[in-house]
Amino acid sequence: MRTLEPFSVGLFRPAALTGLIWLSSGVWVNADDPVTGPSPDIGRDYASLSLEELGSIKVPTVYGASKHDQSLTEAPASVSIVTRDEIQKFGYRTLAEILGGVRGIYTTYDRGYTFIGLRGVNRPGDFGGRLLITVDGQRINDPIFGQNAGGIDFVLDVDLIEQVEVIRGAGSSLYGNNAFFGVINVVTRKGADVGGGELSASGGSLDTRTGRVTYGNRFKNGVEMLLSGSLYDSAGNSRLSYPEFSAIHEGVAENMDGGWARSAFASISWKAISFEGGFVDRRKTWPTAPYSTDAQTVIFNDPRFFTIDERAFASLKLQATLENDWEIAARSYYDHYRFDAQYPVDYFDPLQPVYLNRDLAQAETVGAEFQVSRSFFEKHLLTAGLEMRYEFRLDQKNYDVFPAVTYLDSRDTATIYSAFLQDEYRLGRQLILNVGGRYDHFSAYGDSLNPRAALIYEPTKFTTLKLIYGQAFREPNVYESDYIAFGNKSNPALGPEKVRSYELVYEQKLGQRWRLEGSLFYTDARGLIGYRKDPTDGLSFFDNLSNVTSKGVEGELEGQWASGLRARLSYTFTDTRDALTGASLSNSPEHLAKLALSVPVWRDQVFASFDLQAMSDRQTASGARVGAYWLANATLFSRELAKGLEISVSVYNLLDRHYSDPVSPDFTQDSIPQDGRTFRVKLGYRF
Amino acid sequence: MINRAISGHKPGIARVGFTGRAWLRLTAWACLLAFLRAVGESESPLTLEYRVKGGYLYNFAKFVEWPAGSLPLPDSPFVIGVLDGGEALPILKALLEGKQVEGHPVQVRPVMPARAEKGLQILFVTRAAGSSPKQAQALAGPTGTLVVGETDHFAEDGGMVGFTREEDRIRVCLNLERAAAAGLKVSSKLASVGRLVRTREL
Repeated sequence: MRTLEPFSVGLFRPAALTGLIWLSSGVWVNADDPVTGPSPDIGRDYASLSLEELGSIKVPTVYGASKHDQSLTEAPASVSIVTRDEIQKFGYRTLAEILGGVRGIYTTYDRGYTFIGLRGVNRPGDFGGRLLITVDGQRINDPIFGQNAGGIDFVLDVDLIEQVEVIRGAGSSLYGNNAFFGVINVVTRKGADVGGGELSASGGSLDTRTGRVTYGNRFKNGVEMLLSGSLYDSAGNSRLSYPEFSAIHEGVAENMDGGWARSAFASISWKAISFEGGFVDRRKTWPTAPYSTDAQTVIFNDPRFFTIDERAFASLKLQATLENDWEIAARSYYDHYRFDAQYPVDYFDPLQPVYLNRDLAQAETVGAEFQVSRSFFEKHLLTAGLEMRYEFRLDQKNYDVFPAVTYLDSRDTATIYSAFLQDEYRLGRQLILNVGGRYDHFSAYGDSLNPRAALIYEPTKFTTLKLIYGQAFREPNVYESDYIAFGNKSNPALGPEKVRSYELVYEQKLGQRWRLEGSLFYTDARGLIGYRKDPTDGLSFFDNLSNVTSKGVEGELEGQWASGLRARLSYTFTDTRDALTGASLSNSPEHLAKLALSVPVWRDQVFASFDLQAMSDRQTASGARVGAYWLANATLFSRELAKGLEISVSVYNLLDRHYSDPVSPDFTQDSIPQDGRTFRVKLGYRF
Repeated sequence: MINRAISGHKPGIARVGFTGRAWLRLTAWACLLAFLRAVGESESPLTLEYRVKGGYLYNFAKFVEWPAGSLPLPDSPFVIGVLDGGEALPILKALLEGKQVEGHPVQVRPVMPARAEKGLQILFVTRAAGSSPKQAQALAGPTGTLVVGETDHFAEDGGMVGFTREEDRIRVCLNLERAAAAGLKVSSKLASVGRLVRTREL
């Protein structure tokens, strides 16, 4: 195996990499004077700003709902946006934490990975491939597990996020595979947003430390660039108790929760051409010892149990408006994913008590897409696109190190061709019809056609109604189709999952300060892939197990004042059931409630922010239940107390609540307890 | 069934600053006070987009020269007409009324789509109004009014100034020929930050 070699990287190489980036950026710095501008804030007098200052203010739009910028009310979906301002004020540390504050979303953590679920679906045992995550349009879910990696293993430092767009509902009509229940598009900060250098460092509970170096600017010659490198290191909980393993080390996993990550990101643009590249490499020790079967026991409290996830992408984009008003965008990209894990295993062999088992996967992908859009007769905005994706390496390997036994050595490739078309038709001043569809051809599973239609009605300037229908699908990933080690077998009959989603959205501006949004939704998912055991041979396999319907209602009330005060309250009720048995789904809370409050304490420089997240009880994979809980987090954030200085102090799980998340049936534990109260102090300096 | 981590913290770290309820109470009070203060001083909220565009309109007033006699008296109002669907006018009024342009008080007033409105220094036509540059020009008359719009290619289609978006930022396109034809002189300062376009052949 060429690159699937054992883990051998150190923590200090990225520092050298960052240094290199930093040094090379000096060439650009000297090339021209940077052009910088102020950041927007709510209380300022815009009439007093200069032309240059006005030109540097960002006015938010949503891109991901229709693959072009549009205002939120005109987007053909229920959309939430989290901006950089909120990320700072609420002290969010990961994408998963950002999303945890968004209505209808909930995350679970098994001390290996964080999984993101939406509106009642976050099934223990799969990797969250029913929500598509993109960074500036680049697909982040890997082709092996389809994982929506939003924890420390996310490819971008959250400090580099300009905004996160959550687009609910079936999104395959534009995005194809994985856009099953929704799409999360992360928009990165650009060079001009940084406008110089930034240093950031944080320290907190569980011996967690982070550091970041960023440089970004736009120069007079038109070049805009951003370069950044980040490090993360955490010792984790020193002792974690799992009574299920009470026979070993009294059930305590000692110093087994640590991990580190390093990431780098670059974006450079000049006129119509832009390049973007990201990289993350994350290692984590697992305290939970999952994957025991009848034939083997994974050894508890053995620090040799670790996983490494490495993700990288590079994309080159050309975007232009032609003379005849056609807007064209062409993009080519490369994507890399590598998984490397080691499990200490006892095969009940009296001669050798511990075998080291290695589990490896690697995916390499290239792709290209081409998109055109143009408005016709001032009423139609047509967007059409073609996409080709070639996953030229989809390798999975599982073997024992000594004595060498290979259980799995699977190599696969896949090709996907797609075409999509969307029309935004203004039927009048108050009515927009948005219709579209996408065709995908998968080399392994054949064709899939997914339409979407949305009617957007604005009877008054304060009210918007949206009626949305969409279809989506998810192809089985190669882990589900090919993985045959560790008591698993393959299932040749496995097929894609499909979903139809219906939604009615009501948006109302109430007076000048409040906004209300309500939504009724119904999704009907067919052939959801699940994990089950064959009683005849004791082997587990993936199968199109269940049809699941999810119906619910969601509401959100948001208030915003010119002084900078913001408040948001949301509630989601979801009833998610197996259509055949009527049984409710595991890890599916009926009630989710969230409150976020950000209060300016001193001028527009110091803010106190709280968020409360509450969840009703959930069923575990075994049918037991974990209790309801609510959490409070608080952050005090200040900017410009001294020139360029940002300080934030956060306390997470402020009241030290005890709660657990349901986990995959691969675990001996039914649920995994989460962290108690932790804190973080973060310093940032801009220059 | 619900397990619990024996220790969520390293010894020593967990003790720092989080003992007792006094700390929590203090924070709660501080936040309540700050909340009340913030609510108390709230002003009318303005959507960011039209505030930025309003800022531009005010800058246009400073960097465009109107024909002699447009503002006959020292206190003649500088009038900005707004043709919209109701969404921009209150925001622009709140932002700009009370301001002055070389001693002339700024007045923001609504414009009806079917009624010609002479004597405007600036006419701003929003997307929701849906009027073409030609229709807007007809409302304002041939000279003396800077016609500004925000529909796609407003300046290329015969308007004088069009707002556009570039990567979430609001920029301006200037059609200097059209401005000159209306007797308006655009300063080089404004021309240097805008994108210059020509009227395109249809």
